Amino acid sequence: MNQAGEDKKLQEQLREEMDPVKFSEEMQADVLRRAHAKSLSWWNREIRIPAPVAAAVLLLLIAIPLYGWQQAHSMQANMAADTLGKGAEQEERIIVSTAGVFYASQLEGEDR
Amino acid sequence: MDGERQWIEQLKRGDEAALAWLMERYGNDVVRTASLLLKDRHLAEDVSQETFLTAFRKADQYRGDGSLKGWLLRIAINLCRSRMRRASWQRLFLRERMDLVQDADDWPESSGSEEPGSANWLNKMTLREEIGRLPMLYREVIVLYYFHEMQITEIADVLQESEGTVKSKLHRARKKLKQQLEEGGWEYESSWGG
Repeated sequence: MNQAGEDKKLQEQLREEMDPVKFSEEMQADVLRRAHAKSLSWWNREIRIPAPVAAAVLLLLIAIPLYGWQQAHSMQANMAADTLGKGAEQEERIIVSTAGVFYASQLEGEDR
Repeated sequence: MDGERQWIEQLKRGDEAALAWLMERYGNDVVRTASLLLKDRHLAEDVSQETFLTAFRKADQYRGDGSLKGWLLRIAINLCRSRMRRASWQRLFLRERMDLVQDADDWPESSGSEEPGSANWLNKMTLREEIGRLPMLYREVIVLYYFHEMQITEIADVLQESEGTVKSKLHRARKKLKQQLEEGGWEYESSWGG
């Protein structure tokens, strides 16, 4: 059998096999019902979010609190360091004179 | 053809009567295409319904430069591809569950319990099952070529591919299908009474 004849046979066979598969009236009614419902209510609408967009949003949702926490943490650490630094500076300022060894704050108090 | 144009205009205006006409006219073509591509009748029914809903919602995207049937088939094929991709992911994560689903044969007449090579086995071997064994890439062109009897240019339009690509895909697909049919003991004249 030639190519055209083979093709014809395959086409006929396939059509015959697929004949019982039908788009039923129930399926049609279901589509019409869904189309009607969708045109009536915007809040009932299905939306499709592409995977890259969903991944980006998810990443942002995770990244924003993490960044905020990191910022707050470093700010707290800086403040603590500042306080400690000032305190340390004040403690370390010791003045040695012939009269003895004094804290700067002691001498400052006497100056006033 | 003018009647079809009128229906398309109505469809673009969101007329549900036009949607009913569209399903009446192309419903069988769409559900049969999806059945051949997905090898699962229930999934195919779902996809074909989704195809008409998509066509109804996006009717204004149909420019009229190709056939309406071709446009519908393009939507159906894209939805089938998407389902196949989703099924591949599910198979990856839920291997056992998917195996069970695949074992439950959807086509009532294909029991697969016959002795290979016997007369019953040959009778039960169906062309759609052989098409289902082809890779998705080849299945699409085979379905459009044999089932819808489309020419290369029409197939290229539906699949949005170049004619050269379609021609080479079709050549390889037909070769593979023929090989499968011959291995299965099919003889064009004796098996189909030709």
